[in-house]
Amino acid sequence: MAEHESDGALLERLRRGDEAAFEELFVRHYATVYRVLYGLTGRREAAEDAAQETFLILYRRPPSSHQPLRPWLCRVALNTARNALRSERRDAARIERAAHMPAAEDPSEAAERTEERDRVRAALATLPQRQAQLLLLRHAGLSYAEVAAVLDLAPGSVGTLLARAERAFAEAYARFLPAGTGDQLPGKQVQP
Amino acid sequence: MTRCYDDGALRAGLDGELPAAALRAQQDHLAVCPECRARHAELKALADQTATLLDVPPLDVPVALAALRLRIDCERPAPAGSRSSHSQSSQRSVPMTSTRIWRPWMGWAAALAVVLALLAFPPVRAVADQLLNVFRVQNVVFVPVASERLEQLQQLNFDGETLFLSPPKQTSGSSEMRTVASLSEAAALVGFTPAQPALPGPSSSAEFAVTDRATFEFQVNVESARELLRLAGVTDVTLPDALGAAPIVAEMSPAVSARYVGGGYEVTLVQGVSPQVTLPAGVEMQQLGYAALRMLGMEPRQAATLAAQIDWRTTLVFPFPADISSLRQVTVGGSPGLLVSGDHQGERYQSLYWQRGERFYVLSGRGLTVEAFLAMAESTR
Repeated sequence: MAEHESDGALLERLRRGDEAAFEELFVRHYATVYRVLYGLTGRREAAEDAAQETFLILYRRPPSSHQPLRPWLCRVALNTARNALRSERRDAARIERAAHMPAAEDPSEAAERTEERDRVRAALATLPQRQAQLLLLRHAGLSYAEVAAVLDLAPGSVGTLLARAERAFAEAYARFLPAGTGDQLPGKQVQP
Repeated sequence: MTRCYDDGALRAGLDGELPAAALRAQQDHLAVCPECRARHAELKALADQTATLLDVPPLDVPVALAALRLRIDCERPAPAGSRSSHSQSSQRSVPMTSTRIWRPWMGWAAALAVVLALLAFPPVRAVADQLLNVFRVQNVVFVPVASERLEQLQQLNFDGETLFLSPPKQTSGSSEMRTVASLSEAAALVGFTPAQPALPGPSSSAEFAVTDRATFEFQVNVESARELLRLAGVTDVTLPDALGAAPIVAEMSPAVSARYVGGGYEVTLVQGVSPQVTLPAGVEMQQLGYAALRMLGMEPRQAATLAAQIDWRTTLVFPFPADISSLRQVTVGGSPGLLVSGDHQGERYQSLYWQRGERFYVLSGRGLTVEAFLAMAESTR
């Protein structure tokens, strides 16, 4: 088997029902999709569920092999997460499931992590949706061209939008920090 | 000096998202422009902070793949209409074309016994259908088991008796399954009125049996349990010493079994309430669950994923032969149920599991159409 078979070639094989090709694509792109979804949902379980849905769609209805796969997967993931978050609000059973998450080693450390995660979530939620998506996509490892493809942007504008989004995110995050810790922000540190 | 760069260009420069020549020009400019250098540093700090904050906990891609695989496999026997164009490859994991001789009844019993042997239940004495209920069941997870694997397990050179440090003893209640003459006698013994199915035709014989409320205690010989795993080829499980440190207590609730035989059909209905199992302190159900799944022939990653996902206190793991022809979710009296059907030596058989309130029901039958069988389940009142 070729070591660096292109996504397009693997998609072609997948469309012919080749399961090994699917597994290769999964291994190649799962982490990216998961990162985007974790950022959107803020919870491991929800991210895993949505990532599974995303790849199930890839398995069942793979796109044409000419289509760049990563942007396609991320678009599907964004849609899946949107639907999941919507239905989650109705689905109280999920909350119970989340309660069965394995306990962390150190409760205080875990609590701190949870708080930071909540702050990140809260900060992302204050951003315009597309700005938050831009951050997540880029920080999941998508190239500017791929980010542009997912969000229908001009590739040349991604740098500007990204710089703006990161600044907005840092400011929003600082607002959720406990009082007195907010001045460690890089944006403020290097102000002339 | 060259012109200054805006944030967008500097940010793209940080990501290497500029043509090589433009990137070089930017670096040359930064070397001589303190103002751009400061903004560049600020943007880098913001980018780094964002990266740190958006970092995700470590993830296990193979486990995620195994979980998806499992889901795809489990959803495969669904009606043909819902399947994609991959039917060609869909027989890889659930070999439905196997021509091996398979006795469904025995197989079910054996598969269940395997799970229970591991949890150190008295496997042989127990009635197969009754074994369905080790846990307080709220959810059911279905695990396909290859018939080859079941045969292997049945042929292990292992003395089941050595599995116990103290043999299973009953600390309260009456023992064994008792044959009773009628359903009303059964009702008097178990304290609830058993539901009855409407039979498809007159029955030539009807047999009833009950198990009373009873508490069992037994202590596991961990060394022996480890040996069993080793013989079964499961080498990646470490059973904790705590498993044998104190008795396992199982509180069984009363159950009723009714078997009807008529012209061309045979059905058995088992009904009861889930027992409650108490494990020694320090023993994780999840760990035993993993061991059980591995015993059943599941790959380590799949088993790990599943064992971690299941709430073992409330979930029944339901092994089913991988070569059954159909497995589907149905509704019985408004409750979700699971229907397994197949053909054995030209004869159709079905098994249906469902729950209503705290009561569980297992209806097994042969010689009936699926429609007749489901109608019978629906009629059970």
